[in-house]
Amino acid sequence: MEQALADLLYGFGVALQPANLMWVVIGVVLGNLIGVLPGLGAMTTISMLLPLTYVIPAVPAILMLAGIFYGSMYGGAICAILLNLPSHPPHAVTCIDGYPMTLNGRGGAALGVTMMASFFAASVGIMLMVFVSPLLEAVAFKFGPTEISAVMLLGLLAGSTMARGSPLKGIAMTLFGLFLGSVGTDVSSGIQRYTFGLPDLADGVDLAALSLGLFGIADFLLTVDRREVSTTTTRITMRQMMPTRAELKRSILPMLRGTGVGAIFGAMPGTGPTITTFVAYALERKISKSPDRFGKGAIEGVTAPEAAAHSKTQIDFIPTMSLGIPGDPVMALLLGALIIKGVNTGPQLITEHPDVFWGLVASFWIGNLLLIVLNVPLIGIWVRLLRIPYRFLFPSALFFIAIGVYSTHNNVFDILLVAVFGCVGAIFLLLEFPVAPVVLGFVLGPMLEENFRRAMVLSRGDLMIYLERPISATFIVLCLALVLLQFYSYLRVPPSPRPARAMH
Amino acid sequence: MTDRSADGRRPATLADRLGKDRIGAALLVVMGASIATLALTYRMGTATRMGPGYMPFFYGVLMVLVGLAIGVAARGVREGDRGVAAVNWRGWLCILGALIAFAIIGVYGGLVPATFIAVFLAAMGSAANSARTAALLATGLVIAAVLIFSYGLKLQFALFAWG
Repeated sequence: MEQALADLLYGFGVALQPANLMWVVIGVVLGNLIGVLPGLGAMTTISMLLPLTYVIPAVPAILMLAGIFYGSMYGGAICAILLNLPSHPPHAVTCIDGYPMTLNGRGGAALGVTMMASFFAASVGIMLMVFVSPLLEAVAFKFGPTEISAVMLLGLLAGSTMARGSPLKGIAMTLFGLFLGSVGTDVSSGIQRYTFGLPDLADGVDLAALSLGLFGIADFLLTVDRREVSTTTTRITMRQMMPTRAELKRSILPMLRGTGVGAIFGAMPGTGPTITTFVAYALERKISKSPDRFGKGAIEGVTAPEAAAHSKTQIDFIPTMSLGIPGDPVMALLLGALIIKGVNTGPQLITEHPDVFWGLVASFWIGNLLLIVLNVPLIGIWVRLLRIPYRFLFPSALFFIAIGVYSTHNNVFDILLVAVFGCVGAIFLLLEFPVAPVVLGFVLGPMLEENFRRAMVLSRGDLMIYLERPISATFIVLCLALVLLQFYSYLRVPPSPRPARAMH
Repeated sequence: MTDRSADGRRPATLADRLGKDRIGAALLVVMGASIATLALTYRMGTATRMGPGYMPFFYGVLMVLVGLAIGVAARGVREGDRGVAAVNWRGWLCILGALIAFAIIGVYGGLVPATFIAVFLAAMGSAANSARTAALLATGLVIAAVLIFSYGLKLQFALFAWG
């Protein structure tokens, strides 16, 4: 306990260093700014700004990326509530009651409670992170290559099967990502794999190019001229953001419950934020005394899912940082950025890089506080940004993508790679294959291969080692349980279109 | 995200009749088989001493198996099912073309022409933009590019290059 507080204090020391603080501010502001823009979700925002981090050291880089992430979540909520446009899938739920509130003239209050709920839930998540991560750290030193590869397998399986859509398609996309991760020079033999003689591929596929293609360009290809034109004439002033006493009273319990739901789902690897927000919303409607108000502007329907999304996001950082297993594609991107910076992710991260871990934890608080301070006075500007039409937005974003990717290696090859992955991603999306697991597989692939290789050297090629060691056996059993569960639900569901799909 | 349902009046294409799952499955089988075949040309090694081809080979094989499973499990086209959305060819050509143009013109013409042409092309991908608005947007972004990236961030990218 005392140790955790001392560590946290150390983290504040790291995060408050002027150079680091500056990057947190830049990340939060840019994330918020881009996140507000209609159609640019958290994934696109982080990928677009990923090249910026290549030039700065690891600690400010991760602080900035995390800032971009939750900044864009705040921005996305604004877009969802005022425009009925979820740029980041978890916000689809926020739209259900947030937009009717805007139509009723209470959009400002919806934004106000969203900010309060987000800050509260994030704070709870951060506290959990502070106290749980060191416990995991204590277990982590028992992790050898066998355990690490087993837990990675679990992370990959969970990430690909528990998201939306068909689990088989998710697994297929994870495998595609694993394959992409093996492109480039093989570390142990020096042989070039799948480079087709292109020297630009010798260092492997660039993470920013891959994610910008899959989440930026692919999305432009599919939505150009298909997005319904939505504009807002809403004007929100600072005073309107203050919810009434009655609204506040109705929000407090949903905020607590939402935070709880987020915490529970955060502990389960692979459950995406979208499912978390849906559950939080369904729970509120179920226990409400007047469920018919939902969908017509019930404030609980905004508070609970937003709180759930933020506590889940914070708690997702626990496995990402303490075990090196990203819970969702956003975490995979952040982890990928750390790997690019040469930080050894995995169970040793907290001990080897306390500055990264504790600095990050402290920066969450600073960043979330900053967001509240920023969003209240700047809300007028954000609302004006919402009026930028998509037809101007996507060509501009395309330019920033192209130049951003160019700047990473001063090489135009990566721009072509973005075009290729944009095309591939769009084709897969047209066929209803999820593209998020590709990033998960891509980031974990090289680590999985190396740890599996080491495990096999230790056991002289005997796979039974995975069942002989208690920790890895537990993970393998969980993997099997996951597969059986999917099989069971597949057999049980009658051949009818699943309603969950309609919400994309 | 907007609804990408196919236009109901469009006659059923080959893609519609096959269904998304079967097309996807075929794609996976072809990709997996190519990955596995290429992996065989690298050294495979044994489980104890894995060569560079070992893991990719199994990724490829698993992709083929998952692809086959998706193909078998595909329940055909159902009533009320959404078909494969029509591809917006103009958008695809312009957006992908814009990226390729930026890469090529960036090398042979410099930042200013590359930015102008890429943004203009991309903007023309949307039927809502006229050539005039596209040109205006492109001009605006050229100015932003020069100010932010050339003067602000000192990016190594010549404003104009000849050949």
